[in-house]
Amino acid sequence: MRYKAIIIVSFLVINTFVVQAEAYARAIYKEVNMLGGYSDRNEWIGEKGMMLKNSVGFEYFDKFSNDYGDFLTVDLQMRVAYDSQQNSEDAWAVEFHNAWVEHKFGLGKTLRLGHFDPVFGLEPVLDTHGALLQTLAHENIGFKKDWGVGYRSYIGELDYEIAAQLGSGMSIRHKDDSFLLTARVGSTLGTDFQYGISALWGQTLKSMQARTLPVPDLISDDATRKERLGLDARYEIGSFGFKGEIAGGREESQPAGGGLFEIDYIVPKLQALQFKVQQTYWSNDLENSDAKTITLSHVISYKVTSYLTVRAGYFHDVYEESGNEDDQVFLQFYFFG
Amino acid sequence: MKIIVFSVIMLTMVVSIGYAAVGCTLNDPDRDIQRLFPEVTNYKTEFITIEERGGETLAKEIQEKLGDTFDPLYESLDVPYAFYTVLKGKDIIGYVHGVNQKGMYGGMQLILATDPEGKIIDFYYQKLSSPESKKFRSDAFTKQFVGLCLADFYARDLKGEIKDPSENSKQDYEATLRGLKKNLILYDEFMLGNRFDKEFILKEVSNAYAQ
Repeated sequence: MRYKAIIIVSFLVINTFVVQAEAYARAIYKEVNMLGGYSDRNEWIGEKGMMLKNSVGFEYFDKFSNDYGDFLTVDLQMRVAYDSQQNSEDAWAVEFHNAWVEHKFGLGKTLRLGHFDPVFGLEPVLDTHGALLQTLAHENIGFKKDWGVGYRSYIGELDYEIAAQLGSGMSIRHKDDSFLLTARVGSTLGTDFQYGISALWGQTLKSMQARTLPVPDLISDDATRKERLGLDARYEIGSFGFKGEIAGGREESQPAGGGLFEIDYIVPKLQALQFKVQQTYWSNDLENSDAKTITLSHVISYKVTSYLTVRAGYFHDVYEESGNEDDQVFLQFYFFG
Repeated sequence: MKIIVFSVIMLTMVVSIGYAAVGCTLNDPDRDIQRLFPEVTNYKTEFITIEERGGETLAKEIQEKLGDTFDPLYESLDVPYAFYTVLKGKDIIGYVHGVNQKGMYGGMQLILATDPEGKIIDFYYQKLSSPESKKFRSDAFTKQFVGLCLADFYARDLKGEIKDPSENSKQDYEATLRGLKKNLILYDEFMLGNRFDKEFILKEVSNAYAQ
């Protein structure tokens, strides 16, 4: 009931803002994600981790302005996803990805409300929606986006962003004093070399599934305390792109941390074709040398048209803490346009 | 059941609205526009596609003006072109607009700042995948375009006047000139109401030579 009230109030607030406004910057994108693969451990599979499932969805992006310029931006990106790991009753779910309203108080002063990236590491500066290769966000924080409020601005050549969120991920809930505070300072976008420094402090909830509705079960009713510092960087030269991030801190009372490194290559003569290799390392207990996950991933991506991409991926667990090393191959047809 | 009904309603709404490919928007419009126009107070954003303004017929006209055909990957008709109308209070003091362009090593994004009459105030690469990107991004190269307008791209041999800054990236140099011309043609078509008529400009040039 409380959430329904929040949604109704939100719509009323948005309506109040936009009723007198013009909207010329509207974009609607449809999304279809068809994904299938084979795993050594689970045989035929229809999802890549918790974040990428067979799904249909859309993104609605709009900017509202008056005689004095833009003042409000809205982004709603959602999917209806089929989780092949669940029984048929629980398999269908609604996922909210971007679901935010951003109000501009002046140039470079924006306040955001809704479901968006915690501002830590590479995730807030990359678009990994629909991609086979992800950042460390899921291992590090437990989810890619969260509900809350954020503020974004810049000083000189540096951008900065802070966010206060619920610590619950895709579902809206508050339990065991859960919360998530993040901050990131980074170089301005649009240069060959970009970098960022991030900090995180919070108590986050861990869900059994990544979905908004039906509300997923929690793995534990207790929130997990997290403290992190992170560094990230990107560099582009010629047909090559390099990405990396490291994060370290504490998970409850244990030292935790990890890193990611990725090389991308676009074939110059056939620019629709791209190769990517990524290695990730993560440990929630750095004092225990067995408590780590190391994965090596390879992806070939071919853009058939401006809105259809076909990807093939091979994912190899070099080390998995539970001894459940796996090899997976995937084929993905991704429509976004 | 409720979820399925809700989902079908949402998707039906979306399908009925239409769709578009992904275009070239500014990475950080507030900061970028303030750098280009220090006196700016705010700006208005518009997304415009060739498809909605004239479809195949308009695409053919633009390709004729450009003197080249569109690349299906970078220049499909449903690509939304972002135009930022720069304001000081309520007054228009300029425009910022960008295009995607196929380069030697990947896509490039070419951003132009223009005054309300269509003259270039500034030009920069938002994205450029080139081992010689420093030479292309240098003021020595980009500032040579300041003061030009679409008429100059129609009537003058800019390849002769603005030298290739690179040693081994001639294709990126030519792609830059093509992308800038395309950017100005779209700006003229969508924002200036075809102020720069190609036939008229070429006739004027021809008459000037005849005299």
